[in-house]
Amino acid sequence: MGYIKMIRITALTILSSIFFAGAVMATPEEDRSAFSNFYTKRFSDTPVEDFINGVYSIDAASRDQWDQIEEFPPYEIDIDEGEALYQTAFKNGKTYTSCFGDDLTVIRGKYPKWNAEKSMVVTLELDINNCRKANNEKALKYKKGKMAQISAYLAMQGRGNPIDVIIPTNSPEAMAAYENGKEFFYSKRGQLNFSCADCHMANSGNYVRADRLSPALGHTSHFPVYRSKWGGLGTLHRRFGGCNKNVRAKPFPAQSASYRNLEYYLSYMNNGLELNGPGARK
Amino acid sequence: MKITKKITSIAIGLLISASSSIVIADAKSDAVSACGAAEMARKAAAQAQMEWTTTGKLIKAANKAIGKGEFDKAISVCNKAKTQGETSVIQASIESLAWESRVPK
Repeated sequence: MGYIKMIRITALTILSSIFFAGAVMATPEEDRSAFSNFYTKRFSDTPVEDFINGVYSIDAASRDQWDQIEEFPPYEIDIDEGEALYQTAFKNGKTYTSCFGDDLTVIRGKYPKWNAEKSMVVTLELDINNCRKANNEKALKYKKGKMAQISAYLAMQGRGNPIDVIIPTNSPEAMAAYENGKEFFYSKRGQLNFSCADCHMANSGNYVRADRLSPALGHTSHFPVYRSKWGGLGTLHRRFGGCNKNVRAKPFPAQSASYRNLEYYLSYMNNGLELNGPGARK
Repeated sequence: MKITKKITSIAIGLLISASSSIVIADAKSDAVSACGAAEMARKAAAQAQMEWTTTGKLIKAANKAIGKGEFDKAISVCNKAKTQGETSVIQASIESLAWESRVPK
């Protein structure tokens, strides 16, 4: 273990002399603007509002197929089942309305959000389970199944609303969570040594075998997603885990701090774009 | 004389058998030790939040090899796993500084 510590210290000493430039940290809004500009320059034929359609915003051939799929979307049954789950009362007689309020159209757009009391990022899926626990119901698993269906129902209710994630910049803890998510996005990991940015920024639009890598701009707008590869619906954190496994990085548990902070960062990068979940993807 | 020869050959046989047991015990001990070091390296990688999916699988395979008495194989696989764990820790150190240079301005 002492040997490992020695290697870390040496590596950090060398690297800090190379990378430390005393640069001022960019604000989230500056980050968002630079992030968006990167993609609008790289894909100059794609209107910025279309990036919510993922790879189909940059690939005309698969766009046609996808448009046809969206006429009879594979997630429709999940939305219906999600509605039934949402409207079914808990054993104590209360419903999800007691936690989320009456206006279904605004729920999805409130997340992810900073919870100052708990000093953490809270996602919609996390709050669905918080609501269940508060009403003495068993928590749902986070990646698929009933959780994804309820999330899909609420996503559908909020479709068309603008993404408006708020980061209280006067809160050092909220900013730390945002920066943690940002660091995750740009950090290489796994045996294959890839970061999210390697595929979805630097190589966005390029092919990995037969698939085109989607731009990260708009990534969070359409979740949960019906993925043909899964043969079903899955949440954003399920996708995060899958991506990490693809580069041979051990995934984090769904709703871990790392993934919530990553969602926080990525969602903020999509501010101003429309929510369009649930989505269908290859 | 005959009895002495018999006793000698029995004694030699017992000595060889005991030596083999000691050699096997040493080999097993070496394999267990190698896998212990690999597990420590894997845990260090996990603590650095950079564990690879491959490291744990290698350690699992090596432990199976120990169970089958394939000690040399176990040592080789665990040494590989240890290297992966150590590399993951270095990766975490490098990335803690390098990531920022990739953020578009």
